[in-house]
Amino acid sequence: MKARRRVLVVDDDDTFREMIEAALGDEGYDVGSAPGAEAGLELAARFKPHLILLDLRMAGKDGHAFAKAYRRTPGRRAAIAVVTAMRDPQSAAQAIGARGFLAKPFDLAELLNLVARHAGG
Amino acid sequence: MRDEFLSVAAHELKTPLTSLRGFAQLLMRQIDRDEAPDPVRLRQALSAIDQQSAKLARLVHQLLDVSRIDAGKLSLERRVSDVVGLVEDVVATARVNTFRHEFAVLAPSAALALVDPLRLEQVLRNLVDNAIKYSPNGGRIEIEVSKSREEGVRVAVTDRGLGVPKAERSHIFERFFQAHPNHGLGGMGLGLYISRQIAELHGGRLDAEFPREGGTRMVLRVPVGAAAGRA
Repeated sequence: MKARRRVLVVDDDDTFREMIEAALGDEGYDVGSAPGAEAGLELAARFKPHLILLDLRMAGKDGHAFAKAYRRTPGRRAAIAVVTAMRDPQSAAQAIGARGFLAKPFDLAELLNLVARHAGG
Repeated sequence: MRDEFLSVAAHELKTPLTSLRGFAQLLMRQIDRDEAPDPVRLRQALSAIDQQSAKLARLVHQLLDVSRIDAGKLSLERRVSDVVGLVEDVVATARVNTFRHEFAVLAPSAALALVDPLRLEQVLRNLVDNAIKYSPNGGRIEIEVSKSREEGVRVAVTDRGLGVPKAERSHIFERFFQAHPNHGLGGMGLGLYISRQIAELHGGRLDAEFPREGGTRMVLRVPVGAAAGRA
């Protein structure tokens, strides 16, 4: 059986993470969830995701800091897709070298397309 | 200020909106696939939809209040009201929403004042909600009401929670200020800003005190007003 693809969501909103976990879990992904950059880095090292859905505006260490620190970690690194309420999500995604972006609020179909495209498998 | 306002408001409104729509669409997908809805999932989704729409409603009210304040159009409809009754209503609602906190109301049987009861209740609810929110491990919350010639009606809401770091205490009534951004306690940082404006519109004040034993005490003072002076 093919290994399940792993997606990590890093966002400081609990309900938003729950929604992503439910949506991607239903589609057969393994979903890891972290409420902030520090927890996200720690989980990424163990969970070894194929894709990271990253919120940029988080309390404390934000998404930019996460991306910068994550890129310095050794080994195979996941694609990052930015999930943000910022006005210009595309520039924000480019600024941190993300592969894709989703502007909040998005449709479930947009989320599933983005994840299918970037989580590989 | 305007840019900051828009950026904070956009983030705070769009995230709950995304969760709300996501959960609604998840349920629709299950129905469209002719799957029997999983009761656990159904409960989770409906609860998220309920909570997120309540959160959005609260944020929209706050944004409208801030716009009214900016435009000088936040007005009061004063009538003689019993502040103790307002406190008791707010505490009754709070008791339903938390089982980790114990509420103690120390108050005379009534304290009449010429106030806008809806606006004053909004302030009291904000103070009690903050006391709950910033004592995440539970504990005792005291609400004292007193009335005197010097102070008018005074309501003090005391929690034994996280308190506010010394360096940040002078900022807590500023817009968008959040005392504990890393605790995931949410909100836009507008509650106390609006509450203080409402207190001042009444000719009163809202102050924060920080007891030595920890926690926070918010003290609201409103004048009794001529018609309510005797009660």
